[in-house]
Amino acid sequence: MTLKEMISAQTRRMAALSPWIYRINAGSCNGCDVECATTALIPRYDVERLGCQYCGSPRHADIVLITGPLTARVKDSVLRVYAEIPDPKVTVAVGVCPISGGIFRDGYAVLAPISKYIPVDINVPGCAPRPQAIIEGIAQAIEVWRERL
Amino acid sequence: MNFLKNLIQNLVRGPSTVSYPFGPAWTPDKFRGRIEFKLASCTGCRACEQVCAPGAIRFDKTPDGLRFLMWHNTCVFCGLCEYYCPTDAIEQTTDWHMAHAVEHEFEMAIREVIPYVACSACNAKALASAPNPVGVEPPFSAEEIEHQRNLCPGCRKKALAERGVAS
Repeated sequence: MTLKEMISAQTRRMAALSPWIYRINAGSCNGCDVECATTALIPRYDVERLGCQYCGSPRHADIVLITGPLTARVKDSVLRVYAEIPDPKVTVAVGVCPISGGIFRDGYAVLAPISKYIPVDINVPGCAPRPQAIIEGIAQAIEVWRERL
Repeated sequence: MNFLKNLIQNLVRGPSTVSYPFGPAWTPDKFRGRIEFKLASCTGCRACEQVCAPGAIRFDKTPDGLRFLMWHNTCVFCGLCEYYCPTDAIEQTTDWHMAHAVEHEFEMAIREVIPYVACSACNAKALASAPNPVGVEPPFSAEEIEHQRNLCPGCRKKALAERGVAS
């Protein structure tokens, strides 16, 4: 085994233990964003027990949480930021808005479902989903992430 | 010296983190979660479709009968359908374990058909829905509901009039 392969295998093993989370707001009402922040910031829910950490830059991210129904105005920015996230990545749609549009379905300013533009892996329905449900979705996303590595 | 009390309390109490997903999570009794549909109680009045703001509930006429279609991935769990259902055919459970892989997206739907039957009195094609209980005094008994289920709307009216109820 060459040194390059050894380093590659070691980084893979380490990355599987701590996927970093990045959050994209695709025109959300902020309800799901508050619940996402709750899962990370409040000791009661503490998503960092799963080895996850919210990161500020899309280039560091492994798991992407998308909230909001993808409004027409924010579409280009969302796609640009999403393209910056390195592969392999796991996408989690938080709330019913990115999955189907929810209450905004068929609105003229709303391009939902988001799966028309972005490949989604895990859905977490709810309006907004409770923090434990988001943690459940993240736990499923980590399983997918370990398979992809 | 108040901080000493807090310090000792925190040492004794242990962490406040909920152990979920490694253990059970507490759910409020009135949590509005996954919808449950009871086909036997549905009158087919379509009030739930009318009040459903995101359009998660839909009724379609199919060759077999009236199809009830509800998709949890559009539902906002507001509870209006449960509130307006005259026979409690729709109930909201406290189940919130709904995160799923995207391949199973359309398994999150409820699809039930209220079948057509031949009216037991006049042999016309009629929907085998439960009778509407609003304003019926005394309330329907279980046998009466089963009897009404197999009648067409005209014969239901006649049967109610014979029972002494204005409908």
